Amino acid sequence: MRKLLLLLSFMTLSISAAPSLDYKVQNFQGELLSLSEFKGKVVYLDFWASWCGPCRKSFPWMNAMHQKYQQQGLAIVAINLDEDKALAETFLSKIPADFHIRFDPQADVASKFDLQGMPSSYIFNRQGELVQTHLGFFEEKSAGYENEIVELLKE
Amino acid sequence: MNRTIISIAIAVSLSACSSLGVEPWEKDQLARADMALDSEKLDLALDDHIYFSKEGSSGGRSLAGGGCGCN
Repeated sequence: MRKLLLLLSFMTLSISAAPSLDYKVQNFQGELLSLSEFKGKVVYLDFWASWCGPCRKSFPWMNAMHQKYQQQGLAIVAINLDEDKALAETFLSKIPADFHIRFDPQADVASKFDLQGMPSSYIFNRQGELVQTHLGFFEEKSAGYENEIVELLKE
Repeated sequence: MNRTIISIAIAVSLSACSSLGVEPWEKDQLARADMALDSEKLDLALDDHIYFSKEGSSGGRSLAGGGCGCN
């Protein structure tokens, strides 16, 4: 019976990982930094890759949000999932990003978040709790995304 | 003993291969040109030639018609 319980607990281990700010990702220099450095702010966490079309569209919007709301305490963190960092750098040279860029080449954090598609974004409130998730990026819905951010910034 | 084995087997089967498959961030690898089924044109031509010799028919891969032996 004990063996069985142990086995079951191992099996659920992979499922129990949930989106949170307690994970570590790399910066440009390859240093591991915890996402908890953004705690206290409203965090818009976005997973992207250089080959992903909608990600390309989301970058100008994220830049605009960063300009508009960074003073009020919004942190936009975009985690790249390319295996080859050079691809991400080419992307960024074409579409520059003003916000925080992080790297997760082994997709460790992405698997903890259990991503269902690209891009995926997760919005955390100032207490570091997950309040909203978005699968994909749709320009026609971007006003709604902005409203959510504004509401959270007011809290 | 038998009961333990059976219950472990049932417990293991609960996961039902749910951990298999391509993750969203791996799809760039699937989309590579050399991952396409028809990336090697010469290879396709050879396969067709062998198939034609064996079956006495031609086409049927991605062409309209074919398979009746009437070229």
